[in-house]
Amino acid sequence: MFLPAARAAVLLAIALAAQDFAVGAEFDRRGQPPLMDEHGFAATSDEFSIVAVPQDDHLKLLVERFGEARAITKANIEIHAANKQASVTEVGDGVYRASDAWLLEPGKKALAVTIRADDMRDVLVIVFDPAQGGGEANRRAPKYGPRQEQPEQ
Amino acid sequence: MKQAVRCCALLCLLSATLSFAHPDWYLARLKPPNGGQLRNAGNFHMELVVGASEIRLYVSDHFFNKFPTKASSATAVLVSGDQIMRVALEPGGDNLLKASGTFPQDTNLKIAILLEAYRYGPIAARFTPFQKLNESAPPAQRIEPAQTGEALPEPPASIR
Repeated sequence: MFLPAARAAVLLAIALAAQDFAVGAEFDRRGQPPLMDEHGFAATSDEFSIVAVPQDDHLKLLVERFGEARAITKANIEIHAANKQASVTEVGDGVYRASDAWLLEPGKKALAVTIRADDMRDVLVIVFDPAQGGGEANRRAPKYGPRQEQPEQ
Repeated sequence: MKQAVRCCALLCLLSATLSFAHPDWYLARLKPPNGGQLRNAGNFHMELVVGASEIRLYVSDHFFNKFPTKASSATAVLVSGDQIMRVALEPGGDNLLKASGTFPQDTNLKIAILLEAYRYGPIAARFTPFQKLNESAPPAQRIEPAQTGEALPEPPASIR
């Protein structure tokens, strides 16, 4: 009785380990997930965590230091696609806004988000479809804590 | 009961095998076929090789089968210090996309690749091409699809 049960347990453990091994790399689980509670399309690097949230008339970007709950302020951010570029303006601590209409056009898009903040320089990638409203990313980037509300300016 | 547990374990194992994809930390432990940096992106593996005068992007599926890139295109966004460059990569034969120019070679270079793959749409990956390579890594080898699952469907002969 014991041996088959033990064998089954070993098989299950191997299967679960293999499942974890097969996780895609678009959201790297080595570090912490981004400390942001808004549903959106997440990306991380060694330096930054970002979440892109499609809104009615713009794309909202939440930018934080990777692994910390520290908003990145006064950053110079650009969004690049294959043949297009969008300008981004800061509207709050760690909150940025891109109003270019092409960002919200239906269809899957691959974007490169360049960030220059203090002495940090980086580029992150996001693949998203505004019509999906962040559903795909939500499955990859579980929220794990509430974001601290920023005081109204 | 015993059989149910066994069935459950086997099903878990099967599902793990079917969802075959290499995360980046695993790919970083392999020796890339062309000496570049390997990344997992959607249905593909991308390998990026950055030279002083040329960028080469090799595209394969998760089994390291070459994906013909004749009908695909890609854009590279390079960030090196305060410099941001956007470069278009053109098909270079077989599973290669490439661009010529003068490219930075500093260790902090970061590159985003935006690939428009034929029949698969937009796919993106981030590279740090001059991160130190693992010299003792085993080579990345083509994996036989028959042992692990199904490969990507073949594109039509007109674009091979």
